[in-house]
Amino acid sequence: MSFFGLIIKNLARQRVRTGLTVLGISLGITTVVALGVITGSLKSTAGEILQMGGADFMVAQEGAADLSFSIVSEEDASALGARADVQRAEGALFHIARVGSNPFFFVVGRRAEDIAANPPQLTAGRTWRADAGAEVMLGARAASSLGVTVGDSVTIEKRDFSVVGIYQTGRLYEDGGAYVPLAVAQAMAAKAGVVTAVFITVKPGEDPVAVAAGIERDFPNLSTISNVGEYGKVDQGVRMLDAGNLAISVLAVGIGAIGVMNTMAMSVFERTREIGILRAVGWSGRRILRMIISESLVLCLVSAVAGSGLGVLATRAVLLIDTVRNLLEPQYTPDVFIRGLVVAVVVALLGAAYPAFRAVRLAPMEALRYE
Amino acid sequence: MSERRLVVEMRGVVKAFEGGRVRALDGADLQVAAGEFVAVVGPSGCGKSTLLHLIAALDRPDAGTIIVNGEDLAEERDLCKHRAQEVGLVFQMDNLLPTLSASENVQVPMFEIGLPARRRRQRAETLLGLVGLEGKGHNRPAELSGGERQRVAMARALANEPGILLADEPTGRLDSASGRRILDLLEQLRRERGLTVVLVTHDPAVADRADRIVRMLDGRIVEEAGARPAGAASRAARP
Repeated sequence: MSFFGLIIKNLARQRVRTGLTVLGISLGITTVVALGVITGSLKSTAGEILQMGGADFMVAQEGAADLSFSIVSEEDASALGARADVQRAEGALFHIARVGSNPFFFVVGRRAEDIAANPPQLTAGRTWRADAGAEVMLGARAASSLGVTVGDSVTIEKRDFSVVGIYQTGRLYEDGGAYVPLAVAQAMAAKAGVVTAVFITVKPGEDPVAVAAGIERDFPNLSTISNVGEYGKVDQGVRMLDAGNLAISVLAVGIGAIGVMNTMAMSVFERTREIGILRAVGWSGRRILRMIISESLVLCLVSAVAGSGLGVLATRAVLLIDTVRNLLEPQYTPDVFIRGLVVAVVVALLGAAYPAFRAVRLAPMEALRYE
Repeated sequence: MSERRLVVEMRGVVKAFEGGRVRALDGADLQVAAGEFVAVVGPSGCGKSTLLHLIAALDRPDAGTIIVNGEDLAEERDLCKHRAQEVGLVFQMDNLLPTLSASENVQVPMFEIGLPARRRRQRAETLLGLVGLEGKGHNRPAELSGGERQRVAMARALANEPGILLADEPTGRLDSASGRRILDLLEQLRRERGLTVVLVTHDPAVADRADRIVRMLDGRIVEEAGARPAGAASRAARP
């Protein structure tokens, strides 16, 4: 018999209790993993916007609560394009519209000259003309989801558009949405003369970091975002997602730890006499401590594995909803599962601390007298 | 006795409970030589079990000195090591762990001396053979008779090859045949392994098999009698 075998036997003696504890902790870890996958995926998808048009970085309104609320005047966009260190500045307006049953259809208003200068990869049709008022280019996912192709028409917020082209960028938001002329998007969003963000490509030889710093200095009302980590500067939603994720993790730890503490305390309480026997045959307090903590760790590690599996299943279930599928591509990154594992280990150690302390403090004779 | 090395020496040992109201031991003195078989007798509550528990370092005395194998237990920092290696304990109740097999129960003390799993299994098999339980290693305590469980407990007490075996009423809950078998085993172990045995009992017939009988009353040792050459006890007591 190995020490590990002894641990397993101790846990197996109360199968129902052990099973219920594992289930409870697993559900906590499921939440942590599922939320982690969703948060990471949303951040990753949001990060893709930064790469629109192959730009070096994005410029948006400083302190906006959400990127879609950002307002940058077309004058500022032109001024950015006129800078000596900027090769290209493309202003784009993002508008979330309802299309069919999808309330989160991503409409991007772009200027025809920007499309011409940096055309998307078309899988069918053509780009819209400069004076097009009712033409739309659909992303491949959107076209597939709506079941339309070139020549068909789609209704976006009560406006009928003719589908003239289908593009593919590999970026979820854009492929799940549409490009319309900037003026059309501004009319739809009632945001005349403004764009949501400006995508900056610096001149060859210029340092994007230095250019971004220069823009922030010269335009105090604007922020530059080079990577998803800086997204919080113009989108509090990402920060809220992170905060929510942390709060759920802390809750999972708290609730899980209480569950484990209850199980382990009951287990130690029931085995008081046995612990006395172990002390009587020479087991040290340290070995008793190892036994209790190992039992708790095994409980929580099994829960971590089960919870991670359930977390993956939960995210897959959520992705069965069309709207969600258009908003995020699940990212099963190692850090999400590591977070689940860390939660499990913290739960194990916190939950076992008091029962283990109690077991170690038991005097052999006191424990042996226990009936 | 006096010519042999002393393995247990207790001087003026006091142990009180319930805030000092109950003095289980009240200045007890005892000497046990290596290889001796000592029976401690006396009425209930006279301090016999407390005496045994203090030798086993399951508890600490309030006053007095206890020296086991030359080590003063008061100065011993690691009493776990003492319990794991210097003494083996057999209780009136077998005190086996119910979820473990007989072999696993015997292996439990061996974790503390760091024996690898294979050696633990081998040694447990040997010890179970020694107490006459070959082939019963896989049985759980609930699948064994009272006498068999007590023999498993004895094998467990010998797991780390201690020099001293302390037995607290080991036959108290057994029928006479099983009890006789346990006592035969104790004598055999002492004879073959040079084990020192200190046995607490109510039963005069059991005590009679010892080399020496120590009588206790009110926490003190009041009489020592029946000192016989080692090995004579078994011959005298057998029908």
